[in-house]
Amino acid sequence: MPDGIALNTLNLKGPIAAEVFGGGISNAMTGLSQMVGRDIKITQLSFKRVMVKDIPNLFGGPENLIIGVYLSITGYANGHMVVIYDPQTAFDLIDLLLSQPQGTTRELSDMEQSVLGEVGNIMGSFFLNHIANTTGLSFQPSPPAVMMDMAGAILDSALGSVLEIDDYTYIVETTFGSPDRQVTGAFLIVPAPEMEFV
Amino acid sequence: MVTTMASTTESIVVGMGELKVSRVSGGVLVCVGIGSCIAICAYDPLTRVGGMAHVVLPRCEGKDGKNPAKYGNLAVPLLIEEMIKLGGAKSRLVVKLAGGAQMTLASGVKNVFNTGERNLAEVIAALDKEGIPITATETGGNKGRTVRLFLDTGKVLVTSVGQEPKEI
Repeated sequence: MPDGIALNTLNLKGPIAAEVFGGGISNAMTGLSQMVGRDIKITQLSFKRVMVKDIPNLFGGPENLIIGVYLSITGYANGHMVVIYDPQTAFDLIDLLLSQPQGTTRELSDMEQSVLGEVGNIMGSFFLNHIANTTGLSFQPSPPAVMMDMAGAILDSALGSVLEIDDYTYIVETTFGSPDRQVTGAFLIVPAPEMEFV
Repeated sequence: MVTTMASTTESIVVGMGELKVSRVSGGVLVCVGIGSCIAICAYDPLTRVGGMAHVVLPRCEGKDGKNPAKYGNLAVPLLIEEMIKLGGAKSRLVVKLAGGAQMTLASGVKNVFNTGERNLAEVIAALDKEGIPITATETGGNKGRTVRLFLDTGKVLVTSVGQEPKEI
């Protein structure tokens, strides 16, 4: 555990928070890589403070059709975790995981939701395990919810609970991909706004 | 029909927790991609003043000086006030509601996400308190919506993914 972490006062120094979250996300990529049998890397990672209402703009605008896998985080601190895919990319990922020819999956029914939910589970657990190991605190993910809809609609109920406390929030925004670009997506972490990063 | 009008219309986007009023000729107030949020659309057909609030949360107890528009119970009186400033009359307001979907989320977090229903209930109660009838609604379900209020006509157009646009 690095010196200087003071999560017990819900107070993480900015650079340390970035390091802890970054490590968690790397670990989530390890989990995803193992699951899909491809080397998946972080292509971009940023830890920043944004206006809550602007968050859907990070994913192509509030009306953009996406597939979102949502998990809520509870435990020592609360938060939200969303894995976001372009629908076609998610369909290709499902084909990859079910060893089907590319192009087989064309919609999101129970089976497909379950596959993407499992990917979300793995990423969420790997992410939280790293955070727990680094900080010594415990966090649990909720069961995943898989939705295909407008980005704004998928995010607004989760963001509502953030907006209740503050119009601004910290987010960890990550994009990831395999070298062959077959698996790509974005990973959004929104810590509960009562956490402070100075 | 809507697309051909697009070149002559001016879209005024009402973001999460925002409230906007306008009487721009050819203008369109729009809430883009709402799930559990509510778009309160109000229109004065005589002066063609339109207003839209993008409510995110059901109610605020006490005062939130920072942004009252995000709460159902506070957005309604604020919307009326802003519309009167622009030449609207409370007695003429035609109010339509859209949104309040129950997004399919994880079973373990259901409680938190009953917001759609709670948002709607608070907005309806606040309108009732003001004595303003609700003319039309397009609410509930589990699909996201984009809601447009056309300032020239007062028409409200609701679009969802994979469905025909619906006028209310």
